[in-house]
Amino acid sequence: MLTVENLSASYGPVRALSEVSLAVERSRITAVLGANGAGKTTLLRTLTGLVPAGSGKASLDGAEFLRRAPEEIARMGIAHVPEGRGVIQELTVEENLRLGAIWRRDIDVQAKMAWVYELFEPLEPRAGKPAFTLSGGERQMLAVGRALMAEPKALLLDEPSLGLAPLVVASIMSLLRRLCDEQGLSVLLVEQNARSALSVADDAVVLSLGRVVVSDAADKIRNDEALRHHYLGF
Amino acid sequence: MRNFWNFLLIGVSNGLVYSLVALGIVLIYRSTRVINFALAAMAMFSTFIAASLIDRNVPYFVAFVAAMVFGFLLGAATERFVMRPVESKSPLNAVIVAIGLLIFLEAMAGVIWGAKLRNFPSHFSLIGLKIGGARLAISNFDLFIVTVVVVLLLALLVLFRYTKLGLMMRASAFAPEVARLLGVRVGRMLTLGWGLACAAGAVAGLLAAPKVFLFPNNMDGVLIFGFTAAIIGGLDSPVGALVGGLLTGVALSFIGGYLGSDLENVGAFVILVVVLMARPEGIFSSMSARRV
Repeated sequence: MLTVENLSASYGPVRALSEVSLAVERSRITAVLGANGAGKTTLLRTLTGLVPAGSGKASLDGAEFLRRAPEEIARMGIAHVPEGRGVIQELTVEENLRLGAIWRRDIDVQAKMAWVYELFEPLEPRAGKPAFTLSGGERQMLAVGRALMAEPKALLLDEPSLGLAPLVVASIMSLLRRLCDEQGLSVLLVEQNARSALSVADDAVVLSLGRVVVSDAADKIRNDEALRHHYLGF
Repeated sequence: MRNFWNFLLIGVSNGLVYSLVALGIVLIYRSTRVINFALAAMAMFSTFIAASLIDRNVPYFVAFVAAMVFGFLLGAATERFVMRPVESKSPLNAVIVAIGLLIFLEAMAGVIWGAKLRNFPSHFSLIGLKIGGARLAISNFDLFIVTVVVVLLLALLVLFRYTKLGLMMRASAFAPEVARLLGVRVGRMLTLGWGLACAAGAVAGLLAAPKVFLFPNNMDGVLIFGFTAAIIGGLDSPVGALVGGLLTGVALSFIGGYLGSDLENVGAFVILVVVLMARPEGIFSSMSARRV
């Protein structure tokens, strides 16, 4: 279970996050929604140590991880798939996948890779190709597959639908749901595309100017027309 | 015609040394975006360590390896304690620190070992090989240079292509932030990269010293040729460093051979300027791939 309590962060004098709290239990997806500049990406980057945290706490299954180095947070079982996919373009598909489990000594990399290829079939024939030859959707598959290589407990996804065709988004979302249930993952899903995020999420928080303005079950938010109009624009 | 072949062979032998220097520059540039001008001084310092050991009757090859290890440690320590504090600032700061380190190390070498020219043993004969009746311009030592550089390049190739460590180092160089999110301890990889680069520099120093003699500034000229080679290769490609070194070595050997050795330095600058004007990203750079 991933817990965030009263998290604040600033870029110099600019407050980017104020007192953000949320919790994601195992096998559940929490969507983080909000307009551009609401602090969604900053929230993920602060959690994984890329942006220095101000005050607050964050823990995974009771173990505090905030303010540690990003690589140590990753080694605690928190996988962050950054915005813009984050595949390493110069490396091949297979090298990207290997890298995902690089710090795990107790994993059968070959078997794990075979499993990822089963989940994301288009990747296997491209195994030896550099990642920059992949399409946008394939890159997103690679980024998620790579994150799964280390068998994380929590998965933090930043805008996985960005720039993808609706059909691809739908298939990635439904796969995410399946993985979350099968692997017992805690998923924090940051999305601009509120409609598709709410279709798979269990819970959702809406950020506005760095604050949590709504925190509720996903279907409640989906059915609250006034709220949707006001914060989510649909 | 015999001159032509001799100039070519000398060019290849010298060029491989420039390749090593270029490799030292490239390994650091592509992971930290710093041009390590101190590489010349680090190579020189490591060579002096070997010379001191050889003076104390330590066998040549033991001294050779010791100088490599020293170069590695010097490079690693430089990254960890000198460069790390300025890493997050503008790249210009790091370059100025590197130049400061160059001056510091060269002055220190003068203080410790004196500033006068001295011989450095080559272990292998420097006299040209005889084939048929003709004496070639390349010697057993040149063959040794070729062997050492080829072995070293193959070892680095295996490290980068086929090991977990090499994969982590490449990931750290290409995308440090993503690498950290995947649990790679990028700081350690940078330290290691600097160590390897300066070990390559140390080998270049050991191979160049029998020809350019040993004194505190002895590698400055070689650094300029190596830098030219690195620019030709695109500054971030190890293969480019190899090819750039060979091209630079052969070009300068022809310029020196046919036009006079005074023109070698000028020739290097002309090549540098022409490459920077015509193809600033170099021949082997992966920059274009990154723009996708």
